[in-house]
Amino acid sequence: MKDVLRKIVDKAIEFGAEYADARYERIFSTNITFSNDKIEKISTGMNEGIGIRVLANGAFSFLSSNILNIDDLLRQLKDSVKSAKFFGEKRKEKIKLADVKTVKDKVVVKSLNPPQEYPLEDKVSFISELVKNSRSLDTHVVNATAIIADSHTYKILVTSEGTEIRYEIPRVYFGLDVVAFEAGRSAWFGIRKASPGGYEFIKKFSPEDISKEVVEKALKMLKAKPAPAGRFTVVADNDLTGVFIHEAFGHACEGDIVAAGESILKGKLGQKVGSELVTVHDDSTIPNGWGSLKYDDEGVPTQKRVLVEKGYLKTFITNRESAYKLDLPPNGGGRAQNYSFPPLVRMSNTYIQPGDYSKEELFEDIKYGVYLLGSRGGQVDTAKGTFQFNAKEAYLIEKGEITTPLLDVSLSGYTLEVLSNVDAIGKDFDLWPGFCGKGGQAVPAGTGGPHIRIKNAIVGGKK
Amino acid sequence: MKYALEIGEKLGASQVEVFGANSLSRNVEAEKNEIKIATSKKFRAIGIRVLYNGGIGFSYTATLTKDAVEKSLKEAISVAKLRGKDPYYKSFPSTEKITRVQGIFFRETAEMPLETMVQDLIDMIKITLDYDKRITSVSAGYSVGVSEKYILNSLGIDLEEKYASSSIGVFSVAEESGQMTSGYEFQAERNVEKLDIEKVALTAAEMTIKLLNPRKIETAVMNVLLKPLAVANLLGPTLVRSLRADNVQEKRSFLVGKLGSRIAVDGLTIIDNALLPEGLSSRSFDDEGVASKKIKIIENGILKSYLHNSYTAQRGNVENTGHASRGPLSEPSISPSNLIIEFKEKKEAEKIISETDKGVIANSLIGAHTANPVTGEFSVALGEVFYIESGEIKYPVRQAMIGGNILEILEKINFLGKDKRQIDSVFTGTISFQNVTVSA
Repeated sequence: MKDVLRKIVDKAIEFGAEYADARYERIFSTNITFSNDKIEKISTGMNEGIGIRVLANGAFSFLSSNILNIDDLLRQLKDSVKSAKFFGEKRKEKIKLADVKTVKDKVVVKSLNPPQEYPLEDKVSFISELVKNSRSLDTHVVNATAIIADSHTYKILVTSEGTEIRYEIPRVYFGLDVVAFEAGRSAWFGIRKASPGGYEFIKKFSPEDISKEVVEKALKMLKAKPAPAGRFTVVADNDLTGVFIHEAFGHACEGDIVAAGESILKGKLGQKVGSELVTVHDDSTIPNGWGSLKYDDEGVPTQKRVLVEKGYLKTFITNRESAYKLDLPPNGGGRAQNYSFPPLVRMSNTYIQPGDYSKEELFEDIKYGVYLLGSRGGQVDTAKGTFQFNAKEAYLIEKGEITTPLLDVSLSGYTLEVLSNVDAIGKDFDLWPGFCGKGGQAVPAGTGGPHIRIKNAIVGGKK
Repeated sequence: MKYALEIGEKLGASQVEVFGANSLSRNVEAEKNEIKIATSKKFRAIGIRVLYNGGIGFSYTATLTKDAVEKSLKEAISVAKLRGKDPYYKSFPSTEKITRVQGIFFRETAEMPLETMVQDLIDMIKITLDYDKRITSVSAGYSVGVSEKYILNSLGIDLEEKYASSSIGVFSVAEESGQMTSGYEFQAERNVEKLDIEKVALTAAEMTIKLLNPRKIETAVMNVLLKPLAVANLLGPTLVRSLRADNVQEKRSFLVGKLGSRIAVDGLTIIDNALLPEGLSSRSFDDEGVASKKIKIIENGILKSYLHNSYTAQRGNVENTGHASRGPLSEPSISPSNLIIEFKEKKEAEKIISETDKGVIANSLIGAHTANPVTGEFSVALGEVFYIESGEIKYPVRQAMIGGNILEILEKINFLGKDKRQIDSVFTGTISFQNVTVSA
């Protein structure tokens, strides 16, 4: 396949492109949902395809297909180069790519029990166990749904500049959701666990413990009261801190958004954007990190990026195009969901550096506030700098004590203010897996940090 | 693909079904006032289901040779064996009369030349930039796509249908004395010729400029007016998810046991009409080949029907409403077609604003996907918000949130605007909700 890709990029240059890259991916995947007493959904199979990106006359064109007929692809490629040239004529400013060293490498993310070889029966029995345990724990549990999803991706990237990277990455992901019902009212709680690698990952967990934790929380949520509305002091747990920094700040640091003039952080490099307690990293190099990658989908080696250091904005996440425009080094932030999309600038593992507060110290001065844990995600408007993110679990804080559970709570804030409102940072640390969506593409992204305290946060409650 | 049915039956399946899809989508994007990239995406695959000893099996393949299809059939059979006999499911759907819906395929959309798309984008950027010199950056996109789906099964279903879709969007940023804001607009149509370049660009530009210099408001109880996009944002992850019969049967819905009871304000009616001419979610038959029909979901606040596919209909022993929905890589799920929102009190949107004493009007919701789909609880930020006082839009609001339960907020509807448009599945005008707490 590497030779086919080489032929494709050579042809692109022959057709008149300045640069071309071709990515082949073959993805074996399994997705199983087990609900109450049966396999509700199951899907297993292989998907493969090629994505070709060309830069001609200072403009891009991209095509993808899962019909791997080389003649058909070359016919489309010719049109594709022609389109890019035509675009180039319409542009005032030519797109250029920051220079990078070419790479020839093979990366294999290890798996002791590769997803393709792990028996389907065993995948099913792991999640059916989670479901059975959950249902047997309490009669108020009316539904338990567990999912398991794996993928084993083989990628090859070839660029016209000479880069050739083979990449093999297996991933395993599972989750459990429980619905509890009592006296006309229901509550829902769920967890997600994921890791690069194979099925050795699930052996780290005891299905009994997971079920117990999820059921207990769902039952607790049955007693939850509506959240207050207005501005409060908030304590966020590790998981929520991660989603907070990802939404509130990380997206606004994406080089393509900055270069397009659509980030409230544009032109603010070197400026103070938050309290000196706050240091934010986006690190693609964490061993076995959910969002870690050795090379991005442009073949650029990734790195640990210091976005904010002691309150000062230090750098942006870049791909080759935005690095050139912003006059920053390319730092390996160009990622694509799969072969059928061109790469965009994406985060990897984003977190706040731990500080020196113990958990007790974070809470003790709070007369009335909200403690938020876990998250179902969030959203940001990078140009306005407003964001929202949601908590899976919430409690009132009264006189330093964690008290009443609260119904679904979200926070909203303003990117340029919120890091100044972080007034205490815990010393604990944890990272969580998630998927981040942008431009219709979802990629694995890790988020995390310590417990943190935020003053004056807007809580979207009922009263 | 008929041979797949024959091979499957030879391998011992009592019934076989093939769902195939072919698609080609083309898209041009502009960023920072310039054309940036064209993309074209081709995809085809088939999903194969079998009934084998009473169990349901599934597999997919993108390679359509006889060997690959046979391999896929064998995989589907092994999945059926693993699953075992299903207590509810007896048969794939059988043939019935299909009414062909009008206006789902347009040659003009399929054959839209790239040059025209590029020129339209350049025009949209120019119109937006020319609107006001405070607009500094415009991104825009133009997409067209065609897709074809086909379904065959052992009971004689042999159907195919072609669809076309097109859309444009503009996103613009304005800056004034160190402050930044943004606005956007988009339009989606089956027929590319209905796309209104000028209107979309001007609406985005106007919204952007109006959002400059936002002010803070105080947390208070007021009327909340949600424009069609915000309504679709609100209903999608909450009401729509809970209307799915699979979620109801598995007790993952807040509408369990509510069939026939009042779940929303009297006067609210929601109809699912898959046969709406030119509807963005219109189709003559669903993704299992079941004929589309017009279904009353909510009538005057009373829940009339859930959304079914063949599995949930057989399990619930009710008529199949024809809402199977899938891609070739997965088993059928359930989704609505065109959900048409009706309300007894309808007014021009401007009139609703002029009759609002104190409130906010929002174009979108930020973070609506984080709502709790099982309980219907939500807590979201309002996007592109303006404060209304004494019947007039006064100024943009910097931050505002609303929270609560979807069924409670559906009780608070007092008006529906006549400014109807379709966003994804939801076809609605602006909706006014009274006495909502807005956190700010």
